[in-house]
Amino acid sequence: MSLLAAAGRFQGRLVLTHRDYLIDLVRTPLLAAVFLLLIRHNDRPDLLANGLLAPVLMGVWSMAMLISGEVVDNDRWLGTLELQIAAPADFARVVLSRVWVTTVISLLTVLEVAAVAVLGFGTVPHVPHPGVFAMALLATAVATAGTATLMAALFVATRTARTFQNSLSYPVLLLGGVFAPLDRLPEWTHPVGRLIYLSWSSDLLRDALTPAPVTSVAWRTSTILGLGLLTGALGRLLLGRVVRLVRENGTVGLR
Amino acid sequence: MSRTAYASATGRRSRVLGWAARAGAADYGTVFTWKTWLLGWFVRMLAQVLFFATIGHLLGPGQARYLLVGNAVALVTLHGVFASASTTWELQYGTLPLLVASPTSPTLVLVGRSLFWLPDGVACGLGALLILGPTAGLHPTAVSLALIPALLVLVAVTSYCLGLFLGSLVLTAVDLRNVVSNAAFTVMLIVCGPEVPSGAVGPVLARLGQVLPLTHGLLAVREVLAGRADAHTAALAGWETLIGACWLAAALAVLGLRARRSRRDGAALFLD
Repeated sequence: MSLLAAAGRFQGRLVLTHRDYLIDLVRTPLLAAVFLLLIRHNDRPDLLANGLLAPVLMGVWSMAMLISGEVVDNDRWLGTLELQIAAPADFARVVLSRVWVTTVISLLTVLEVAAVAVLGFGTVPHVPHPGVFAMALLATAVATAGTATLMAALFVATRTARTFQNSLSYPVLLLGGVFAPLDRLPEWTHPVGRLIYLSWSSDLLRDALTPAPVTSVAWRTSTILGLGLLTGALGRLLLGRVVRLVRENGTVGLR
Repeated sequence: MSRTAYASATGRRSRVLGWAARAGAADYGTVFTWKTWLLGWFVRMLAQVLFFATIGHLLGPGQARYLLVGNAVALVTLHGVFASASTTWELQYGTLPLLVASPTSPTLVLVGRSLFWLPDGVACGLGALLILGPTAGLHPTAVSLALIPALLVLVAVTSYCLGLFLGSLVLTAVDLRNVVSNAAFTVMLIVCGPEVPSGAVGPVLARLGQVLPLTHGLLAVREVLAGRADAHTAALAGWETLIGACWLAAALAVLGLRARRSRRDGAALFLD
């Protein structure tokens, strides 16, 4: 527990003091304004749930890729990787704790988007299924942390993965159906899209924001959690492998 | 200044700009190969346009096309505004003090060092229009195929000027470079017309859009694609040029001021 608290305190201070890391907390309210403006201009209040959820999921995903994904790689830059690997604490647990704190901070986007809706557009977001919404959000956070752990390991394991870091934004957001549901895309994209937890998260969260009864909640939540835990386990495995390799090769501090 | 001396000074400046552009392109070359650019960066850019076009399909008739064109041209602006981030790279690399100490104007180098964004942005914007356009019923004519690239180059240059200005403001605040460029771009999505007509955002924000790059250039692109290219389109392009020139003047003024101040106080580091 003290390890989680210490790693959490460190990562929290890093995110909140390194101004470049605030990019998504600055961009999310602006993106919320873009989507709400689109809905108001086209007189489509039925798409309000889409407009509210899209900037939140975009912010959460982006912070997972840009901040959590760089946890290990940044330690190399900062020269703190050697110390962490030499420390008796389990390295993967430290990384996972830091990823979790970043994910929790990214959930501030929920409050930001709500504030833009209320203050900028006079719309008070209504949540007809608060229990489902809370559970879906928690499952999404777990899945985000799992995916971010895998990315943190991948980005340090191969330089090629890092090259594609920026490219993991809109293609994933499109296939994740964060605004327009995956069903609106051609059918051949569905198998790939359904491998992305965001497609399940966005569908479930949108349903929680609409008055109609939500069906198959347990199955859908389990799928989100399952995808998250799977990627998280892969990430942990890969992290262990990376640490072992850099120890064996003596390349801990080398990029 | 005699004509010969003037020509010599102009030639020297062009050479400096050329070398700065080559150095910037070399920087970019370390990030992408043509394969990773095509499969990574370009695909990501197409996905961004497709993301908004898909929203347009949900919103109603005509919106997919409106959003596709708006966001394809906005991609060009996005690359131009990235100049604000790459301008700060000189400080990161530790080469800024050398530039300040050199007899050549550091402003000239900073203006040239991010030019690699221009062809990148135009390629992404044009690629998005040509590849994704048909999905929204957009079939460019020969006239539009001739005019659109020129207008995209214009938008790229004017956006670059804004990017330089923003870069001049955050030259020493390296950890703000991406926040500023992304926030500026998202504000432009709101007020410059890629998502909704500027009249839909209220008079104050619409006025802000009028003094930013992209607004007039995008309107000109929409006119050309609608087959209505005429004197009004030329006037829009003229306004876009004028606005870009104003932002360039502002960027040069701030960069020049900071360089002079930095030399005067001996820091030569652009540090406040």
